[in-house]
Amino acid sequence: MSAATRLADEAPPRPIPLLDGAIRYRAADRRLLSGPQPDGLAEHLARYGARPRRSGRSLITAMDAIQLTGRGGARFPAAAKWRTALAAGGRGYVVANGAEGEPASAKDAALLQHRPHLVLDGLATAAETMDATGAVVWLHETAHATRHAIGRALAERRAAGLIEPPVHVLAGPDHYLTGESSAVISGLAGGPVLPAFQRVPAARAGLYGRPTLVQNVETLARVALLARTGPVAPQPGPMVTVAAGGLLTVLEPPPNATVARILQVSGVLGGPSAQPPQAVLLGGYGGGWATWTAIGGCPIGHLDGHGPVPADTPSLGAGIIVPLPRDACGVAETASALDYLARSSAGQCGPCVFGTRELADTMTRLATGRSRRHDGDRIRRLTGEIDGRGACGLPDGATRIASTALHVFAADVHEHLRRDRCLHPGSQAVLPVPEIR
Amino acid sequence: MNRPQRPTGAATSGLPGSAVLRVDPTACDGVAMCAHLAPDLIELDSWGFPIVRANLTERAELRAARAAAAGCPRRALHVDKTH
Ligand code: SF4
Ligand code: SF4
Repeated sequence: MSAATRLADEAPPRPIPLLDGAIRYRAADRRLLSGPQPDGLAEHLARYGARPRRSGRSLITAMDAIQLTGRGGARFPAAAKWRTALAAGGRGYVVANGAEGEPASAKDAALLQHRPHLVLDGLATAAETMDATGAVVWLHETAHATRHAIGRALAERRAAGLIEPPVHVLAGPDHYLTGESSAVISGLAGGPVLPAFQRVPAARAGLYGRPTLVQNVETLARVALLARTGPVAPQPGPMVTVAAGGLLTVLEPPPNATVARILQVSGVLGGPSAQPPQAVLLGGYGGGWATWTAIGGCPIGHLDGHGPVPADTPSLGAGIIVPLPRDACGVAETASALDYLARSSAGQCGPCVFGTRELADTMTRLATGRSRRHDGDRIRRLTGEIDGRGACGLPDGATRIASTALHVFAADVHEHLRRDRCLHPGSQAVLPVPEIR
Repeated sequence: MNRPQRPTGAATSGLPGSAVLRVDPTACDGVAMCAHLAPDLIELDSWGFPIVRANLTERAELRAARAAAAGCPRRALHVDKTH
């Protein structure tokens, strides 16, 4: 009998959700508006039971069985990373990455604030599996509510005498790239919190040259549940953030919920007279645009990698869904997203410094009625030229947002290019683009 | 700079197809020395930064890649074995 089936036989054959209701934040200042009560240690133990002491290797088999991928956006298979780290001898570092950089994402904050013990369980299990030297929770330094929640949870665990590796809570600047895996490692080593070129994967040789797992907090929470249930099918849906109407709504829809249904539940697609959006930005600024026609009826589980999706569908990334209303200008929104990315660039890599900026400037010219001859071709050339050429994925995100915009907003692009005319004049800005300090 | 080149032949430690040429974009400052040293493997983009052909499948390519890496004043080019 394989380890995976043994796990499944012992466990109740049903998935356990991470959340039990929507959690809503005000987008402008990320203030919590509504949500279920956060779990203290007592509620956590009543809800999920104690952290099982399972051997790490059977857990990795279970992670493979449910195809657990990184929830921070990159969606790299988690089991492969853990195996690499073990093969490299373990005894390195494990990081619970809660520094979500995407301005339209709040799921990691929601999870850390409402289910901190689940993340800490996952971190402890990962650290034990790796026989890790250090375990870290990595946050944005401005994430005060989150830091408070984790601090309180750790104090509860100490007071209860839980036996687990000690955890350090550390933070980096409030920046788009602070949660990027190589930036986390550089920051933890005392260097600048900026992406670095990695000749070998961090799972093999990361922090101080030791095997290092940087895993998103939702990934670790899923590990904590998996250790309890075994690889039951279907797994609960991915956590998503819907950014609309000045709100960030965090949900955990079942895998068969369509994008339209998710928008309904989050209150965006309100009454029967409400118009569906024209398009959706999937995956935030690391993702891309999809037309409503293509994506509205698509189940979230499929977008999560467990089923077919329409051709050219962008990655769901960190689970971000931003609907674009019918009266908004997709060209202007794309320009503001690209400008945000160009401003967020760490300024280290030539193709990103020059290319992402030129891409943003070109799209901005289009959006503001100042387009030049060949700007359409220029955008196409730039997307081909900078894709995959930075030390981090920032230019790749810019590339995808720009190239999907050319298709999804083809009519708008045509009007802007040919006549310097906007089909949606006077529209309100939709995408959240924070100031960069 | 000007690390001595390893003797050819012995330099091809791996089999053809088992090495990649990569540029560390954070270290590269677009001096473009590399494009002169390995013109068949490296072209320059609109701003003068190298676009490298990653997979080295022939011994001559591996030699050229090593020469470019050795000649890069920023030590930004790496010939790594694929794993
Ligand atoms: S690709 Fe851009 S954002 Fe990423 S490290 Fe290089 S310069 Fe910085
Ligand atoms: S020689 Fe080195 S620094 Fe100069 S362009 Fe080539 S890789 Fe970059």
